[in-house]
Amino acid sequence: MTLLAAFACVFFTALAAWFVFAGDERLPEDSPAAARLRALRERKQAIYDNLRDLHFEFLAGKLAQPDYQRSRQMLETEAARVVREIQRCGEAS
Amino acid sequence: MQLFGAYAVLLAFVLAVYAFVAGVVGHLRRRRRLIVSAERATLAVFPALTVAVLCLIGLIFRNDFTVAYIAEHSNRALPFYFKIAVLWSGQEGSLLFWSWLLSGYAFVVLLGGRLRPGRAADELSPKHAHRALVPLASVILAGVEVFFLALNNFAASAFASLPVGTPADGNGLNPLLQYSQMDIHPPLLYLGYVGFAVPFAFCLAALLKRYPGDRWIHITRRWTMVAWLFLTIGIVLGGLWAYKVLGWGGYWAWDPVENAAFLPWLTGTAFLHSVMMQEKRGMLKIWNVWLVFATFLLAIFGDFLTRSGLVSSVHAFAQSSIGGWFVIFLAIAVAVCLAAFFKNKDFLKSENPLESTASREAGFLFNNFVLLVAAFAILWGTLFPVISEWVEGQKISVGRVFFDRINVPIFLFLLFLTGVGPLLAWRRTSAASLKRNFLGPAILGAAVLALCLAMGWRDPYPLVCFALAAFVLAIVAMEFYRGARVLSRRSRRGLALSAVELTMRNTRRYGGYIIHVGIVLLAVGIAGSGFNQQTEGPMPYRAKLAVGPYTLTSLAYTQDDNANFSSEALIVRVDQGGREIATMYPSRRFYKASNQTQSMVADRSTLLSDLYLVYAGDDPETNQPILHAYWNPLIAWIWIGALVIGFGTIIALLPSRTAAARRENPPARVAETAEVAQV
Amino acid sequence: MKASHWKLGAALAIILATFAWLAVTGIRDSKSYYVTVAELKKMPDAHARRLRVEGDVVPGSIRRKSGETDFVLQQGGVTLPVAYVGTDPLPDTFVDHAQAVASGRWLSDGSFRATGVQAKCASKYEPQGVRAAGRAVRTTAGTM
Repeated sequence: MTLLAAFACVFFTALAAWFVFAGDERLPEDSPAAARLRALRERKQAIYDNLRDLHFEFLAGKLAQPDYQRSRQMLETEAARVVREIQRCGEAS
Repeated sequence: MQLFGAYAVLLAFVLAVYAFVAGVVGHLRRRRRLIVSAERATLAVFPALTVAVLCLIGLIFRNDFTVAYIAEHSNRALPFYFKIAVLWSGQEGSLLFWSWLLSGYAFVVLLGGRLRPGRAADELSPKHAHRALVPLASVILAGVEVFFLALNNFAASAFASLPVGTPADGNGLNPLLQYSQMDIHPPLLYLGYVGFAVPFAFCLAALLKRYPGDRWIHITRRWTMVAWLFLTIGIVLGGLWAYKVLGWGGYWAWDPVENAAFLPWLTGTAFLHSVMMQEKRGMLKIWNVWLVFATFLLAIFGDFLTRSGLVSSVHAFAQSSIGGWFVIFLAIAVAVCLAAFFKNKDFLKSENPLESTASREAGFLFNNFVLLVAAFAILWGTLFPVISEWVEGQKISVGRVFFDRINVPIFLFLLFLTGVGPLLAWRRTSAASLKRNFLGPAILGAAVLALCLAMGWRDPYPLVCFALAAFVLAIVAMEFYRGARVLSRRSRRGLALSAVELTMRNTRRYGGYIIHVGIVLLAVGIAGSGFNQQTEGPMPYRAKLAVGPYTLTSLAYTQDDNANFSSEALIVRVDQGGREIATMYPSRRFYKASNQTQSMVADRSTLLSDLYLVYAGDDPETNQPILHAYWNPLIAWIWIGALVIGFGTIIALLPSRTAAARRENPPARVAETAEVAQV
Repeated sequence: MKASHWKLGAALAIILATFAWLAVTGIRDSKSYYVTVAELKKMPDAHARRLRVEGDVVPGSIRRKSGETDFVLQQGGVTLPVAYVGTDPLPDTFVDHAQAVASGRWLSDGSFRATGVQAKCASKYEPQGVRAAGRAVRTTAGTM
């Protein structure tokens, strides 16, 4: 019984060691430029989602007209800024 | 099997240490092979610990009482479904269980983070972003595992044997734990506690890597929601257990162990709200990072509080020597958090300022602020004996009065925000919008308040709670109705179907509303305790006792006996308005292995109220049975509310059908205007 | 923008002050001194304070009467008669020899009027013999 357990222990240690060192996966390298571009795209997506949300809330009747107009204008200005930066990043790379 | 189990725990420890050391070195020196092997080692901890846990379960089922842990916590006559519970019913086993869950989380995180081999990932895809964070997050998880596995191996081994001989039978499982709720309460609670390690790991990894973009905050939020779900259900099940088992008619006593679970719940809840500020507006980044850190640290601290015997509690584990280990680990964790934060503080700059007090941002700010005040007050009250001993040399504890006095107003205020917050617009809300959104619900709330006053109720807190509940429910209903109306106009489908469609399109928001409904129901259930009644009296044959609308009559007395316990029960007839409605059997059990007596509560639960009977023993002089009777209105709504919260959280965890929404309402127009604005 | 910051700050300050006041009164109205039976007898103004007294239940001292349960706590040879007048049923763990904490006030006639009792059946929750044995093993686990 003890012998069997000892054998199992050795076997599992070997198995674990093999598993740990057998891997040779390529890790994704994140270039700073790509990461920045991705971040900007995420930001753009977030602003677009906000705009869509805002529009929906307006349709649902949650917002008074002036509130809607002002919020929408702010979001669009923000979106413009982000889009501009994305274009600049695109040109640089 | 015992030897093999101990070996598996040791192997897991070695793997975790390797994963941590190789990972740290690999990231510092940028060695790909080291990083990859570290990740694989983290992955391998889970199978190793699974083997260990299976060994312990096997030993428990084989009644192997050479193992000290099993001799202390199990016995032969224990039914099999409670034998599983033996795994987490004592110090050593529960620590092993904890490590196992942690490694399980790490396993899922790592598998979920893998890219398909052979396919070159798009550098700009979110999946790629996720993958870029996983290696470092896995190192941090391995670091946490090292600590718990060190405890499993060197401080509290579940596989240690008794020094001499093997007893014929074990000491048995604590009878208080022999309940179905106890079979699932600890695993869920632990899943909650342990789960907070995952958002912590991703958050710290993003901070250390100065990871640009919002992707990490999405990951952190999702995992926080998972842990939060388990913790919420775990806490409520704990309350349910206390209520059904402990026999004092209540479910929450502000006991240090309860508070320990509640603290990370509060900070986690705060994070789940304030994270929206970051996602929508790029604000509050520092605050959010610290909320994630605090939630994890409080979860560990809660574990420490439960196990160290620092504060005396009815259901803490025995005092033990492992407290010191926790102090060291907490100190290291706090130091790492502080160092990472100060080194990368500039990475967390806010993108937008706060503009108005009548904005959703301000609503979230208030929500966070009071949640944190509650957390701080509860922490302060829990540690008061320790602090006062340092300061005055005198152990002073504070009781229910303190906790209730500060928390009841806080939660009423939160309930108010629950209704108001989602209707405030981002940035600024005009008076016109406010009126449009709040007039109806406010009138309904006032009507409920007037109705309650007309009923002759005068206790202010339940009154305010009922009025707010009506207010919030009206607001949520209105939200669903308005949204569904827009969709049904467009698609010409029914309102109910549109409401479902609405929910699936934005699972986070509408799942969140469902959670809010659950919170309201829970609050109503708690407010019901303002109307509780209780009485006690001797119950010889034919004696009567009145409580609430019921009359209780003692009918007879029975006895029973099996291998695990012997029991005696009172048979009580319940009448309401002169009509018999039920027969109840409050009883007492005597557990043979552990030599303990246990009162078995009889509880007749309806949506309106519970009738809760405890057979409190016999009067030694007259030999008559004594019955305690409680009438607890609305208590069932606490459990229903928790179910609704769980349902809502699951909805919120589902991915939204945003694709459909994007197609129907394309941002092309937006892009045009953006370009216009650019010129 | 400045004005809204002021408004927000003021609102938060008011909330904080309210809760601080609630906390202070809450502590004042509920703080109780945690002492053992021996410490109680040495405490100077013990009669004026809310107390939580810890001791062991003297075997055979528990007497249930209608609306009241009397028992004696002892610790290190010092004893304290206690009358429990609370409404909740006593915990199942409250038996002879149990380690109990009675919360209430110490009357000037020398008896203790308790409104709450917690009990831990020390000998059973963590069986002493097995426990000690378990520790002994842990230090010599290598030889198993």
